Amino acid sequence: MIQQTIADGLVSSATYLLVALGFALVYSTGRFFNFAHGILFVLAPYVMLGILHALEVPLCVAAIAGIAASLAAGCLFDLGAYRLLRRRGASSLVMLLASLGIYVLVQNLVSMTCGDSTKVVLAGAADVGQPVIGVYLTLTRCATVAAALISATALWATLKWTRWGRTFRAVASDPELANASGINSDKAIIWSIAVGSALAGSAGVLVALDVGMTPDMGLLPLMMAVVVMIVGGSRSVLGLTLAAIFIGVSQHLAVLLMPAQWKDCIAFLLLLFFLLFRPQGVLAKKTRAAAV
Amino acid sequence: MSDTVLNVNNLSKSFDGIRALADFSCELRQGEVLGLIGPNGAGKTTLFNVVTGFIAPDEGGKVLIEGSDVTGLASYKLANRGIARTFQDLRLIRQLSVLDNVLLSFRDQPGERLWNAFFQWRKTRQREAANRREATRLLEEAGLAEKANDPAENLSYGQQKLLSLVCCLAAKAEVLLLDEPVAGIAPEMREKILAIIRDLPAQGKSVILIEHDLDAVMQTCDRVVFMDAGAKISEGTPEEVRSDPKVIEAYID
Amino acid sequence: MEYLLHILILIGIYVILSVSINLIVGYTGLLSIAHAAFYGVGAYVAALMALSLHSPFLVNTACAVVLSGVLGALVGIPSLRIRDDYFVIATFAFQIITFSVLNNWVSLTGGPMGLPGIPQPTIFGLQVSSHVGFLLLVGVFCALTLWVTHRIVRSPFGRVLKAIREDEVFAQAAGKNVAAYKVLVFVIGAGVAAVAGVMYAYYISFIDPTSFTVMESIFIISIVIIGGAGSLWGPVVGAVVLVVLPELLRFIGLPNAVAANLRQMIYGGLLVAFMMWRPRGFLGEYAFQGKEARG
Repeated sequence: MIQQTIADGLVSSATYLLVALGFALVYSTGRFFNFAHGILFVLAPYVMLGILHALEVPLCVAAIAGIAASLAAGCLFDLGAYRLLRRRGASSLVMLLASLGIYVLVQNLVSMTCGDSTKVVLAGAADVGQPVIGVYLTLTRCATVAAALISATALWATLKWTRWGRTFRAVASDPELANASGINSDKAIIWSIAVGSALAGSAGVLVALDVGMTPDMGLLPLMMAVVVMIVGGSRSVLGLTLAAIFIGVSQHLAVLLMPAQWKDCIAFLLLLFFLLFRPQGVLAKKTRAAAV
Repeated sequence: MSDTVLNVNNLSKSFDGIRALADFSCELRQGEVLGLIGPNGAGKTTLFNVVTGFIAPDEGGKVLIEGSDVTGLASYKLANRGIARTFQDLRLIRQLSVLDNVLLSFRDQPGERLWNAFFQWRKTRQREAANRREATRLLEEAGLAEKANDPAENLSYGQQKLLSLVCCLAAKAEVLLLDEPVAGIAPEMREKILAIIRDLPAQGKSVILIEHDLDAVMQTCDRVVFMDAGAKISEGTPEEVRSDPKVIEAYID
Repeated sequence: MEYLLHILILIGIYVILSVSINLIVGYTGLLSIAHAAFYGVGAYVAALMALSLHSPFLVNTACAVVLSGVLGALVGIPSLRIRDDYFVIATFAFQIITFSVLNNWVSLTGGPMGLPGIPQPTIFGLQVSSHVGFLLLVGVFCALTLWVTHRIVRSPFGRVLKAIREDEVFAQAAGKNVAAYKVLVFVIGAGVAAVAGVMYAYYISFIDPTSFTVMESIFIISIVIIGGAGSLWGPVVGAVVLVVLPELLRFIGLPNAVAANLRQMIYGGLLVAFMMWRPRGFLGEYAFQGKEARG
């Protein structure tokens, strides 16, 4: 029984991690909370659904097209709005509010075109559960966990060893200095958004295949990504991974002790705790007190 | 024998292993203008921040105002204890008018308590009117009266520095801590501000002045303290400190 | 005619909400996405008291204001430790937690089923039952809200709020207890929002958690932003525009569900547009620059 709960928790963790990785990438370079990230989670599955209805293509192709659509949309938001705001020296609050507006706009666009009812994609064999060591697994759920682990590892390796990784880290720690050294921070940001959007889109596709999709399904993963980032720290892939595991698993374990509907509440209380006492995250060093 | 209005004893402060203040002690005597000089990063602004309550000192240090221990008090409480300060990076409320900035700087305003704003209209209005008159007078003396209703951001840099000094005067503080009051401004305004500062002791006030402009320090200060790496290196009259070999050595380094 | 009165009543409720959040966001510079939580708590407290205790309207309103004020303080206190964008996230968390409580504590709040059958208010022996009656009641509360806000912002207290909005350090150095102001402004904003909640509960006579979600908070913030943060009449203009504009869609004959989406798209779109080209809204003075926290 408990293995099932933990397994379920890990699937949730995987979802949160995929969304959080992208969210943290954008926060580190763009330096603002990009709420529109949540809608990229929703776009990919709906585009996938649309393609499946319109064309005779295998599921994989439609899924990849959906993810590509999310990637494109994310970049569009940057090129169309965020970049302009950055040029104007807009504060992070203004950008947060703009991203909120984009979120509302696009969610309602989806709702208007596709309706609010839950849409399900029949994934055939991928949905058939196999009991393994007492845990009920489906291919989709395994894929989710695998995707999260692969993405996290790939991202970690990229950041540590590649040139892109170094560029990213330079922009993340000091954008002005990076710009002065000839690094184009705009490019770093759009790459971050592209990668992040693809990750969020992938998570959306996998969740949609698992349980179906609704236009408002992006809000909760978005907020969970925020919790994961605050708890894990925006600069550490390991921190994000540990935070995601902790939050996903403890949420599901908590359901054994209390009514299920409170599990989101727990995550938000955790968020408040971290915001108040350790906003830089679990693994980061305590930052220097703000001088006057 | 003049009284000491401000004492700092054995102040230390470390940030992430960097010692910003290293067992620093000094005193400010009633009616004097004390200059605080030293290279960048010497800890001068940190000292101001500790004295005005924006940073708490490490264990063991003490700040005393007229003999009372005020170490670790919140900054707003210290501001109400007769201390006023300016900031190295010039803090003003740029969106509000010049007059509003001065009005904000008055202490003990009944209208700032919400209860009074609703239930003590007369007292609030009277005090506000009196403050307005006083603020206008101060601005006239400083030569900023015609800009009184302009947003503070419309002033030139030098005028803004003058405004922040006027705000300190509005506070009716006995101790003024001025952080680079004439840095980066034109000679005419510089002279004007220095003249105001020189006149402060006659009004019963005591001043600590951080400046890099050594001429200004020589002209304006009664005593000077030289700081480096968080410690007091030298202390005395401007001439004494200027010719102190330790000071010369520190500047060459 | 009834329809027109209904719109005016809605405008009135949103004026109360937007003027109250303007005090927090526009005058003190504390962006908060938790206002629907205060709105909801006000509505639920009044409704629960009316339904189970049958207490008079004014008593219910007073209790709603007080309890919402307490929640306001709880939201305001973290603003002392958490800065700008992180604080917005914290308010999100409060909003979602409050919704969670309203939605899940079924024995107290009725959960997703809500609270039906809220009786009509009786004030000094007069029962308010018609649209005109409700409009008068809402109108009185609107006027009161505007008057209170006007007195606050024109007073030295209000001047300190504007100072805090731009530079808290300056305010501290000028002897202002910034923490007290921030908490107080949240208490007031929350208390006034509760009045709007009370009005809503009595007018519609049925409430459920779906009226008090994150989306509603975002809508309220949009009103202030578009109308103009930091001005007295900005929120009023915003409320009129954002309530009336989507209603005009009904006249084009769109199906209800589509109209609902379009309504949200309008304010979402306006929010983006204003942030890009006029962050201070129609009449506002504050453009969300955030506070000075330079080292």
